[in-house]
Amino acid sequence: MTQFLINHFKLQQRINIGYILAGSVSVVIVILAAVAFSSISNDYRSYVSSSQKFHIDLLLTGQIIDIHRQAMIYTYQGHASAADQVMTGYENLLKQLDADLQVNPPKIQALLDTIRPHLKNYYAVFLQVKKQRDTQQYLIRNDFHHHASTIETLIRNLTIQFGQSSDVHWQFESILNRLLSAERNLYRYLDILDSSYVIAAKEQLNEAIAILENIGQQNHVQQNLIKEAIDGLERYRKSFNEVVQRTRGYLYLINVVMAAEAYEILYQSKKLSTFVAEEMTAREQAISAHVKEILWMLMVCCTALLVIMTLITDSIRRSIALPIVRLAHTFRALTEGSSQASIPDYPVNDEIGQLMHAATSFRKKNMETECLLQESMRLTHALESSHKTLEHTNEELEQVIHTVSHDLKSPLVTSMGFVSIMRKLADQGQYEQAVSRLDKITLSIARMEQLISDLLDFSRVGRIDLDYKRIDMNALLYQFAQTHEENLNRIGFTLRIHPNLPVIHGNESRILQLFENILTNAVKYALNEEQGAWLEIGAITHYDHFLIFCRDNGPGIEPAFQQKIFGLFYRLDNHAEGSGIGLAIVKKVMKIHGGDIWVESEPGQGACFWLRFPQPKTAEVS
Amino acid sequence: MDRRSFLIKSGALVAATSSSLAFPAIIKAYNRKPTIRVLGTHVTLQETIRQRAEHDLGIHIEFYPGGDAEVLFKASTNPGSFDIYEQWSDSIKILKMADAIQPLEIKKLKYWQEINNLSKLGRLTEHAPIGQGDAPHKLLYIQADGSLGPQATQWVSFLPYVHNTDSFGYNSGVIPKGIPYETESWSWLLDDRYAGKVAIVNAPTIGIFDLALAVQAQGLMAFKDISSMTRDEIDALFEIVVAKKRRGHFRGVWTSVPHSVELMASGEVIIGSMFSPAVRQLISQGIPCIYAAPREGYRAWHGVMCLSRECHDERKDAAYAFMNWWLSGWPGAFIARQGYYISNPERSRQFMSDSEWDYWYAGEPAQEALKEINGAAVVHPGEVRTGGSYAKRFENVAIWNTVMDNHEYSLLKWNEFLLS
Repeated sequence: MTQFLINHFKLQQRINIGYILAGSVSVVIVILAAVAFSSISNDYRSYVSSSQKFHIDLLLTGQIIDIHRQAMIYTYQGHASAADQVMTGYENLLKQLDADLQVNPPKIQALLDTIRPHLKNYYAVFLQVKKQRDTQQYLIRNDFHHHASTIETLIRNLTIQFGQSSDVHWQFESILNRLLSAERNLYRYLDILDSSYVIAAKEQLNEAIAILENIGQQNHVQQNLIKEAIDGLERYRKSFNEVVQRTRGYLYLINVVMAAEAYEILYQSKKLSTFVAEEMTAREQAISAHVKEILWMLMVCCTALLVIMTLITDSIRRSIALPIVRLAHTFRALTEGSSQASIPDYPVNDEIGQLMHAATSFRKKNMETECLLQESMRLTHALESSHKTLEHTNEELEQVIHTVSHDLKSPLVTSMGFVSIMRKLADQGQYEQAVSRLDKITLSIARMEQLISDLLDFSRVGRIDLDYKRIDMNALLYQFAQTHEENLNRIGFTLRIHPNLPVIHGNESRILQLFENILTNAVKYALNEEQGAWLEIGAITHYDHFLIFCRDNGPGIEPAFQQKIFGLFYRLDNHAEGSGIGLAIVKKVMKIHGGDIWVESEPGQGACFWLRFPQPKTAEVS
Repeated sequence: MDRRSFLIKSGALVAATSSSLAFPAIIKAYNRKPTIRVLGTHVTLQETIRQRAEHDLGIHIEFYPGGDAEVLFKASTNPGSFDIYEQWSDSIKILKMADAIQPLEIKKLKYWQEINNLSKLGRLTEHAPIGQGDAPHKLLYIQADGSLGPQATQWVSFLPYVHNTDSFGYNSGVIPKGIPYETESWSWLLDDRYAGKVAIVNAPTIGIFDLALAVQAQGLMAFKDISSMTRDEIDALFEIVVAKKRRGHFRGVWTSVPHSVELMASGEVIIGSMFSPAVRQLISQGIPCIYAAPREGYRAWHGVMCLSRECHDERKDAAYAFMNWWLSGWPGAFIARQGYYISNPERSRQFMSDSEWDYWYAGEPAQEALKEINGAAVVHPGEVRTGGSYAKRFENVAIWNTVMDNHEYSLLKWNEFLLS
């Protein structure tokens, strides 16, 4: 993923992808959250709405109780407003029921469907109650009163007809008293609803009728009037009965039929409440479960999105950071001067790509700088080497000056001494003796001349030797041996030249001078009477140079003198011939050929001079 | 053709023959078919009966069935709305007080002599106790002073016909089956174990006694005369049952037999006041309803057939014909199969198979499966009717349905009970 991003997108694009992704994830999370909360909100609204709808059960309970209370008030107290409230309450409740039937769930609808006929029946019965009560009231206020008045008038007429003093007068008064008592009992009955008053009233009416019939049977006058009075009493009794039955009727209707219907409505309402409570509980649980599910889904989705976003943004981060970290390592190495710092692959040409190019250039510069530094070091080293050489040369020069001064001073001092002696002898007049001293002076001057000649020769080594060439040491030393063979044979000195000698690059005359001096010294110091003096010359190859050895069987050299013998005018034996400049020249010849010379020796064991020559370069050999 | 079918057909033939001889005189006299209106309850106002009666009598009959209260109210306030009124003996006082009915002439009642002593004397046998309250004979005869009494006269307030003992029914699938007259008790109606699933008939003249018997059986109170409670006793009774109701003991009240069936069939009720046909219907629906034989005795009722005060002339003759037809045998057999008794059972016996007689009247095990009118088997072979024989049942009458003097007051308390 990271590599894919690095390979296919520029830095800005990757950053933009990161922003877009983060923004997109945020938007998606916001949308998911909005959807989730919208769903939860819908559930809540639905719950609240349902809760409001379900309040029908409470409405029912309250209203039906109120309606029945009003119905009871109307029934027992006759308030017309109470009857109106029953009607209004019924209509409102029915309207509410019908409205609820349209929207409530099927089970609630079924319950409301059950309630509806009870409510309608309740109201229908109430209308009967009202009708019965209205009829009862009408009977009491009109018929009953009218019949009572009619009977009273008839009885009064009969009393007049029969005469105030007649015996039947008291009977008529008795009838009127009974009628009055019956009426009073009726009102008592209506007041306290005790049927014993009805029974008493009926007995009184029956008695009144019986008295009147008896009067009619005993007196044959006024029969029509008596019959009319009996008929009036019958009508009165009928009205009485009807009032009682109407009363009993509506009492039964309201207390039994309506109360049962009201109870059934209340029961169904209670059932509705239970159902609603269960429904609301179930809905609450469902909503709770739904909310949990939504929150869980939201959490899962958000987590998944965040994980995906994290992974991708991490890849983007890595795709940005990794090249930069690598580049930082590279630049750190580059700033430390490394020319070998690795520059990571980065195929896209963006800001980091440009940095990569810069790093490449930086490394190239470092490589150039390193080359320059190496060259500088090499030059410094060479300079140091030259400096050392110069110092050594100066030291040698000082040594030479010291030696030359010392050695040249010696003949001068000797000459001056003899000159002084001659002056003294001349002063003393001993001229001959003084002249005899001139030979001494001449000798010292000759010695001095020899020294100067050797110095000139020493100084020429390397200074005027321009003819460097390929020298086959086998051929050169063979010729060298041939040249000296006769003289050496004459003195009994053996010179052995080993085969397979190297080919070097150098100045042939100086090389020959070198071997001349070594041979001269060997001859001069290496006389061995027992074994016969000899010098052997051979060579070995050691790494990148050749080692030529010159071994003799002379007296050997003390270790303390093994360096000094290469000094100018240094002689192990002052009695020996020579000026002591031979080995100094050898050393200088080796030096100008880039080589060196040293001696290995033990006193009495002969000496071996090692000559180290650099192997010639291909061009030099050819 | 089995014996029963034979008997039924024979009975029908006899009835048809007798009716063809007895009643055409009415039609002939008025030169048209008279129509009588019968007001009553679903117990007797059944379509099969109406059709059979029309066929046998050759008259038009209109049935107006309704609830107890409804029909009683209608009859007491509007005698012109019916010719014959069929209901329970406890309605007689109300109807009489309302002057809604007219006396019946015994001489016009064809089978009067066959009517048994339960209706005329209040008990079937000499040693049987007469239940409290308005036993039928106490309301039967119209006394010289116009009141109702047991002294035989030539006038009666009603024709005694259908009657039965009522108690309560219970679902033996829920309530353990009791032993008739031993463990079965009215107290079960107030047993807390059945709280919430108890129903009472919505008729104060009946239901109040179910409650009173239950309260008395529970030992919660005693009545001086349970058939004529004082106001204090009514207050005490309702105080107890209202308290129970407020604790949710009662499912409610029922207003008709179908309603009571519906309540128990739905499972909302497992025990409650019940009428015999409801028990039969529940059994036919597979609900193991048992009609209890309470050890305290039954609440008995006697059907009364009354003549409206407004019934005259041809309709009056037709009404008498319809009354006499009721005691002619077939109707008694017909309603016997629903668990009811007729006041002249021997005449109905010829319309019943031996097995039917054994089961319904004799209290013996059914020899064969007995079927309902609709053909459904409601009695299985070997089954014995709960409560035993006709005589046994009516030897255990605790109370007869009665309209108490404090009827109006009991209505108020009933209202309080219902809405508590």
